[in-house]
This record gives sequence, C-alpha cells and structure tokens, in this order.
Amino acid sequence: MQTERSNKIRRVVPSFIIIFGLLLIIASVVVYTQPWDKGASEEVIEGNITLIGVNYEQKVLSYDEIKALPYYEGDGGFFTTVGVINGPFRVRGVLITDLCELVGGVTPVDVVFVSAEDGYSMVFSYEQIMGEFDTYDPETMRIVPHGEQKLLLAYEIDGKPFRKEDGRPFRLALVGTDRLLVEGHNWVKWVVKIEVMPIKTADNTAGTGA
Amino acid sequence: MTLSRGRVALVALAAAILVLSGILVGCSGEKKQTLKVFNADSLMVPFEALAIEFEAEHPGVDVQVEGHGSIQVIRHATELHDEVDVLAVADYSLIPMLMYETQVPGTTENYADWYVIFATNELGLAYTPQSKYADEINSANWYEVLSRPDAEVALSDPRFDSSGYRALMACQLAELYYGNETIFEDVLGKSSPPITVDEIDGTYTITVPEVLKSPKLTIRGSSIGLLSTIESGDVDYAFMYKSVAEQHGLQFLELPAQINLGSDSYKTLVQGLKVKLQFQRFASVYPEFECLPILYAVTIPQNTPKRELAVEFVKFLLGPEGQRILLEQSQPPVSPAYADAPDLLPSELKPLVAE
Repeated sequence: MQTERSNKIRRVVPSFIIIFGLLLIIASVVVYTQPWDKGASEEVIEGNITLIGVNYEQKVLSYDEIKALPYYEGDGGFFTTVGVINGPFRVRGVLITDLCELVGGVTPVDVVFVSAEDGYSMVFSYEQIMGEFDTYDPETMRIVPHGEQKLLLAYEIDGKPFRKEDGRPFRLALVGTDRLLVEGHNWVKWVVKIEVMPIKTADNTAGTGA
Repeated sequence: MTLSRGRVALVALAAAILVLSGILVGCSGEKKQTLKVFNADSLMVPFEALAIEFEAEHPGVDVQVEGHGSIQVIRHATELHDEVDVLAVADYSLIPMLMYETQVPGTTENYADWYVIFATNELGLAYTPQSKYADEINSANWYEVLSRPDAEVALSDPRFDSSGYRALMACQLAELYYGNETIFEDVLGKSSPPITVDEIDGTYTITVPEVLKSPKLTIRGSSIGLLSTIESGDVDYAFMYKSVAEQHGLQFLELPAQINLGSDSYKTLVQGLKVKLQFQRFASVYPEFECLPILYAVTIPQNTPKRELAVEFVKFLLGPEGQRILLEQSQPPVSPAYADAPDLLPSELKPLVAE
C-alpha cells in the first residue's frame, strides 16, 4: 500500500513540477517581453509642435514630421525640487537649435520660450539652448563638469515613446555623453510651442540696476 | 546526507505551494486606503513625520506625501487634475488666488473656499563652519560679508521659488533698514539683463528679467536644491528658510525682524513691496508677488473623494500631535491656527482654530 502510494507520488510530482516550471518560464518570457507595451510603440501618436521665429515666421510640425528630422540620442536625467532623481535615461529627439533654424535661428540676444499644453512654460537663454546647464552627478548630487550636452525636443525614452504622464508626445530633455542630471523644471512635459524672442530689457531705467 | 529524487521533488512542491499561497494571501489582503497630501517643498520634512505618526494611529491608511513649489502644489489639483486630498502651501495668498474662483469641472463649486494658517517661518542665511568668514558674520554685518568678492552666495531662483523672490525682498528691506542704498547690488551682484528696483511713494517694485544671470550668484531651482551647494562648500551662504536649514543641520544666521519676513515688521520700512517677474511661468498665474509675512496654509480641495479622511488628517495637523511634530521638526506652528473663513470650515476643524 505504502509503496503503491509512493510510486504514485513519484509519477505525479515530477509532472506537476515540470508543468509548474513551464508556467514559470512562460510567465518570465511574458514579463520580459512586455507584449502589452508593444501597442504603445506601434500605435499612432498624434501631436503638433508650433515653431515661431524671432521675425514671427511660423511652422507647425506633426509628430511624424518631427520623427523624420535628424535626431540626437544621448543620456541624461533630472531631479525634482525635493531631490527625487529620475534617470539617467537614454533619450532620442531633435535638437532645439535645429528646430529654431527652421524659423530663422537663434542668436545670443534671443531667448527661447517653450510652452506646454497644461499652461506651463520655461524660458531658456541662448547658452542654455546650446546645452550650457549646471550638471549634477547622480551619485553625489554635486555639480560636475560635463562633456557634450544637448537640449532636445524628445519623443523617445529608453527606446519607447513617452507615456502620457511623462510628457507624451514631446518633452524637453537635456542629454549628452556623461549620464548627468539637471534640475527637473528644464524637462518640460507636453511641449506644444517653441518660440524664439528677443531678450527683454528692463522697461524702466530709472530703477537701481542689480 | 543525501535526499532521494522523490524527497527533493516533494520539497520543491512544498516550496512552490508556499510561494503560491503567499501570492494568494497577498492578493486577498486588506488594501490600505491612500491619502494624497501635496505640500510645499519646505514642508517636506515635517509632513513626512506627520504621515508616519498619522499612519501609526490609522493602521488602514497609507499617507502619500508629495512636495512641489507651492504654485505647482495647487496646479496638481486645479490644472493637472490629480487626486489631491490635502494641500499645504508656503504662501497662504495663493489659495484664494488660484482656488477660490476656479471651478471643479462639471460642477458649480470652486476648488476651495477656506484655508487655515498653521505654521510660519523666517528667511535668513544658511552656512557651515567652513564658510568663508563664518567666525565673524552676524546679523549686523552680514550684508558686508556677503558683498566681499570671494564670498560665494546662493539663492533659489525667484522665478520659480518663493524663498527666491523673498530673498530679493529681504535685500531691498535691508537697504532701508541699514540706510545703505547699495546692499541690493553689492550682495546680489550685477545681473544681465539687470534686476531693477523702482520706488513710488514708499512702494517698491523689484522686476526680475526673463533670464537671470549674475556672476556673483549661484542660483538653484528650489530651496532644497541649495542644500547640496552649501553642504559641499561650493557656496558659502545661501538665503534659506530657517526650518529647512535647521532640518538639514546647517548653521543659520537670523536676520532682523524687519527683514526676515517672519512677521509684518517690514511694514515699518515700506508702504508696499512686490516682486514682478517678466517671465510668466504659468498661464494661470499673474507673476507678481506681494511682500507678506511667511505663513503656511492648508486646505482640502472640494473634489477630494476622501473628504472624511482628509479632514481627519488636517485635524491631526492642527491638534496637539501635529503641533508637537511641527516643533520637533523645526517648523514653528502658528498656535492657535486661524482660518480666513471660519464659518466654512468642516465642523470637526472649527474647535481647533482661533475664534
């Protein structure tokens, strides 16, 4: 009786383990390949960017038109106002300087306004448009020198389009060769407009300049 | 000792069942109720402490604390339409400005119609023993020390952060307090394009250009961003809230009451004082900030789906436990707290605010 039961267990248990193992393997493959994300990369993404030059020249480019432009790919990340680190990520996008060129270019006496769908905007100096930002080491959070840095209108992060909550379809990103961080307010989400304007000077010269 | 193949298989089977049981138990376990609290960056430390103690008293609750600049805190509710159950800001005037006349979509109700002032702060200088001239700086000579060419000075960007535009206000007030008309430029340096100060009948307007660059200044996006510059020795002094400096173990130089914005003592120096930004960061916010005492306010957005729990949290904040935690975390409470519209407060909060 005892032997019979043992034999039965011996026969059933290996089969059960094999099935369980197979299920684990299938689950691992599914988790690794993330088939639910495939739709995101294949789906049609809509969104326009309006470019306005210093002489009011205007162009509107679709998501596909932006993707058809020459791209730059680099590494970078940001940290929030309370110090939460995001990245570094591998990011792909179009250089802001290239986009400005499409509407007459940007010079040292200009600033560039970047506006978002939600009413947020940021202004960048000429030096920043050229990639000159203070950059931080992700490990120490100290300011460190950087190599090549580029400000991008980004549309891909780690090989995928941005998720809506991360700025889809377009987000600004500062990336380069060194996997460094910048302050988070520069990574503007949901960008819809990039406008080159001459830098404003103080209206009232009677004040005490500082 | 060696195990037979059958025994190994049985052990493996038992392990698999244990794992599966764990997953099943985990899935069926009671889910905690989440309370989302959005607060000003400078409240991060006390609010994290509040969350821990509140959770200890309410084991079924997970308090999620998220810090931003005060305007962003409100925008998360009113423009980004995130679930915000409680919000607390570093400038009470922002709540009526951005919530009292903004309707919750699909309703006729505004996002808020009351706030409670519960804490205060003061602006001063954070530094370390290694900062240049640390052994000689005091509240009478600070502007002279900061004016020295080798003293590295930092502030948070006035375009983005309340402690930044309040630092500009403090420098202007210092000119009036010490009777020295060059303090503003000596301390902050010459920026290009310039920051301008205009005075009409005792009312001062400081205008900040769209882009801010001064060779003398290190500028960071937030008051928290200043911490690493001070701690690393990259700068010697940073304009900072007292609570933030103390929470992070920095030395703090208090400025005179007429300058530090901890009260309305500045009114003895000026009829009015405001900072106007040439850069409008938010479409919904006119970029002009009046000089007001630093007072923190809390409210509950009208559209929170967890009103009862939100009220419970604010009750905890305003009650004796909350006051104790604020004090322990170097965040001076306003005691008793007071409301702008006491009649509109949830009834549970009314006993906790001044008549």
